[in-house]
Amino acid sequence: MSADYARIFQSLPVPFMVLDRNLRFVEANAAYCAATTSRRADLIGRHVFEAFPEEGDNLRRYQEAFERALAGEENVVAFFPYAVPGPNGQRVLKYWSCTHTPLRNDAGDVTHIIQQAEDVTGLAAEAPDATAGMQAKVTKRAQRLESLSQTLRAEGDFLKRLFQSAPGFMAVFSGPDQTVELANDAFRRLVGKDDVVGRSLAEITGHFSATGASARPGTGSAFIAEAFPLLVRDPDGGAQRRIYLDFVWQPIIDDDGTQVAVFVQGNDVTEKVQASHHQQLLLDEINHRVKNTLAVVQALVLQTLRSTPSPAEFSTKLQARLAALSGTHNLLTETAWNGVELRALLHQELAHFGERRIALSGPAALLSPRRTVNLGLVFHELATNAAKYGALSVPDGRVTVSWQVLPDEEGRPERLEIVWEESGGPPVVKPGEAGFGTRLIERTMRAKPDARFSIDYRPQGLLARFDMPAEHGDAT
Amino acid sequence: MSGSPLSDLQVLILEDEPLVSMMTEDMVVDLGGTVVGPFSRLDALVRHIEAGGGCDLALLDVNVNGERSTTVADLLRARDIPIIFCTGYDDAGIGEAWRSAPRLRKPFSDAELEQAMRSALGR
Repeated sequence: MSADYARIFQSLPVPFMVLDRNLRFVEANAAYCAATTSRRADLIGRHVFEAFPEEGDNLRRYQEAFERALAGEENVVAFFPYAVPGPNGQRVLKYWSCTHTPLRNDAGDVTHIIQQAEDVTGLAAEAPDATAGMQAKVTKRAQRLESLSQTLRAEGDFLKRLFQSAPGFMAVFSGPDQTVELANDAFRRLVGKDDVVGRSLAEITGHFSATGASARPGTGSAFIAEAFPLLVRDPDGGAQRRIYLDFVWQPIIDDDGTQVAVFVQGNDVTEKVQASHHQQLLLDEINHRVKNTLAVVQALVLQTLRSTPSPAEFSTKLQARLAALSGTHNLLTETAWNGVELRALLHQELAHFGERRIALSGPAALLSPRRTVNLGLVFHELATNAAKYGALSVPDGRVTVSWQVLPDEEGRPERLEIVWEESGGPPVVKPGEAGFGTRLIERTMRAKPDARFSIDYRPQGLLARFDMPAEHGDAT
Repeated sequence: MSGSPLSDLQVLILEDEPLVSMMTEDMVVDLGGTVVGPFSRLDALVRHIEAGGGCDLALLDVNVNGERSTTVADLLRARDIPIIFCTGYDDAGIGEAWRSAPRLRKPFSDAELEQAMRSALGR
C-alpha cells in the first residue's frame, strides 16, 4: 500500500511550505495557508518575497536562511515578527519561528527548501506585561541566540572536520570493554578497519600485539608513549610487521572522579624510527670501515718497516702501498661499495706501464669490496716486484693477466681463476725467503675455503695462479 | 724475548683480515710466543680444536667473514683456554656470556697486546 503523500502533507497540523531554487512557492499546506491568511492557489508559482514582502534586516535574515538551505544546511530563523492580514482585514503582528530544511534529489543536489513555519506569538503574548518594548527585547534575544547557534554550529563543523582529517589518529573509548565512541580517519587507517564505532578496542586491534615488556596504559591515569613498538599481523598475508607509535592515552574523568571515557591521540612514527635505525646502522658501518682501514694501515706500516730498514726506502714503499690502498677505495667509492670489476682493479694497478707491456683478458667479474681491497694490495705487490726485478724492469718485458669465471652445474659463477704471467724480463731467480708480497698473497688466499694459489718462478718469467670461489657482494 | 713471562706461549690467532693477521702474528712472535694458525675461517679453527689442537691463549677476531666467533670461544672455554677478543668497532656482537672477557680494540699496539695477554693469563 502506498501512502498518499500529498494528502498527508496537506493534513499536517503544522504549517509547511516548499520553495524551489528560485524561491518560488511549489507547495503550501492548509495549516500554512491558515496561519498566513492566504490561499494556496495565490501562492503557488509566486516568489516568496512577492507573496510576503520583506525589507531591511528581516529581508537579509531570510535571504541568508534560504541561501544556507540551498547550500545544504538546515537552519532556523527564530522568533521572527511578521504581520499577517487578520480575519477582518487588519494587520495582525505575529511571531514566527521558521525551520528551513534542504530537500535533495537522488544525486544529492538541493532542489527545494521545505519551510516549517511555527507561530510562536503565544510565547511572547503569555508574558503578563507583553508590551511592544518587551517583545522587541525578546525578539533581539532570539536573534542573538540564533546567531550564537550559527557560530557554534560553524565551530562544531570546523572541529569535526579537524578531528576527522587530522594527520594524527584520535579516538574516544568508553565502558569496561573500551568501546569506540568516536574515531577519525587516521585511526581507521591505523587499525585497517572502517567500521570501528561501537566495537571494542580488543576486537578492532586483535591483529596488534605488544612486543617485549613495554609498559602498557593502565586505568585512571594518563599514559604517554614514545616510539611504542607493536607487531601488526596483516589480515591476508599473516606476515607480521613492526610499527612504532607515539601516543597519549588520556582518561576523561567526570566531576565525581569516575572515569567515563578515554581519549587517545597519537602518530604512527614507524618511518621516523626506521630512519633513525638506518642512520645508526650507517654510522656503525662507517665506524667499522674506518677502524678496519686503520688496522690495515697500521699493518702496512709495521710490515713495511719490518722488511725495509732504510728510512728512504721505507718511505717510498709505504707511500706506494698507501696509494694503492687509496686507489682501491676510490674505485669502491665510485661503485658505492657495491664491488669492483676485476678488469678495473687491474687497470688501476697496471695501466701506467703502458698498453704495449700489459695485456688484460677475461670476462666481467665483480669483486666484493673486501676482495677488492685485498686483491688490490696483492696486484700492487706483484706489479711492484715485476717493475723492480721482473718483466716490467726492462723495456720489452710484458705482463699478461687473464682470467675466467667457471660456472657450476646450474650455470652460476662458481670459480674465479686468475693467471698472472710475466715474459720478456731478465731470468727469474727464486727469492730466498718469502717476502711481504708472497706472504700477503698466501694469507689472502687462505681466508676462503677452497682458494688456491701457486707461484712459479720460471726462468722465462714469473707465473702466478689464483683459483678462488666466485663471490658476489660479500660482507666487507 | 726469552725469559719474558710470555715466552714459549702457544698463541692461537683467528683473524680474517690478511694484513692484520700478519701483523698480529709478528707481534706475538716478537713477544716470544709461537703462533698456532693463524686461522682466517671459523670452520677451520673448529676442526683444529675438535681434533685436539691446543694452545695456551687465543686471540679471536669477533667478526669473522660476517660470523661471530663466540661459538668458537665457547669451545675454547670448555677447554680452559684463556681468550682475548679483538674487536673492530662495537662490542655488541660479543654477547652477555662474554661481557667480562678481555678485549683489544683494533687497531691495537704491541704494548696493548702484551698487556692484554698478561691480564688474560693472570701474569
